[in-house]
Amino acid sequence: MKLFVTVGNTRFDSLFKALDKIAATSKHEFIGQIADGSYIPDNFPSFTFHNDISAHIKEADAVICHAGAGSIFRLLENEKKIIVVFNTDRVDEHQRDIASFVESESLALTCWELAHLEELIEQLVSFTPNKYYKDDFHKVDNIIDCLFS
Amino acid sequence: MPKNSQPKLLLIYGKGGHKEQMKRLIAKMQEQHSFEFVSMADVTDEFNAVEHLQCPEPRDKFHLWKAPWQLAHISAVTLIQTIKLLKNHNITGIVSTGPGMAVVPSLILRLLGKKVIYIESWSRFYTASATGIFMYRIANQFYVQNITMLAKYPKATYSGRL
Repeated sequence: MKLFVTVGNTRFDSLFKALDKIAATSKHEFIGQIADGSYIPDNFPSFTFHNDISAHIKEADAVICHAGAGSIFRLLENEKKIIVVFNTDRVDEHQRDIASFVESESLALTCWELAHLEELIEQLVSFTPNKYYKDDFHKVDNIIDCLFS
Repeated sequence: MPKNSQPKLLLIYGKGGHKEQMKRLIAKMQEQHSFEFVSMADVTDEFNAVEHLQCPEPRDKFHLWKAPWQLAHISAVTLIQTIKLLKNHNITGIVSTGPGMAVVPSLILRLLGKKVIYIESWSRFYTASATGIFMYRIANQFYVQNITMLAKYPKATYSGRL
């Protein structure tokens, strides 16, 4: 599998350290977007930021991403198979809600501890996520009325 | 009297997902109503604001001890930036998709009788954000994008997801 790894705007060095170890012996191909992280993987190519990562997303068979909502919703809207990794380097719990949500709805595989990541990558091959359903934003009229009437 | 009397909104957002939510919201609003806006964010402007002021990040995701200092700093900076924008523009309302840099400007605008709209982050399903808890009390309209959040904010309006 071709796996694209993205962490949006938030560095996640522990993830790339873990993946670097996995990539050393893995049959899968990895490419990483590491944000402002200080750990540069030796065993697969990486870059910091890019204005448009859509080509990487499109080319990948699956994506490993941090539990940032912007990244996750974009990938779900693009019907990608994903492993969502809870960012244990952060001091806050801001990613917990969405990681729990995608796990409970079987929209993605969720990794809470990096020790399980290798096993989850193998599970990804046979994983079929549930279809992502989005109740589209429908309160623009109320907002316009409130602001301009 | 502001230098420029054309009515404008003040849009406030943070980097990453907050910016993406604002991008989607602006597109949806512009389909229905043309408007000018100024903005405040911890990133550069990509939405063609009439004036954009860059503020510091409201939190450090990796060092808890920095939080009190950052809170004081962001409050002071956004207070000064709000006064500056109010001097230059006729701001009629504020819309924010979070995070914390929205609190002080929203409080000021609410006290001045302007409309304040806050959209709680789409990442929230079961727990309320600190900014959300403040904004729930300040905003004229408070929206949640995930229906489960009505348990946390009973008077909020469920909007669906951006």
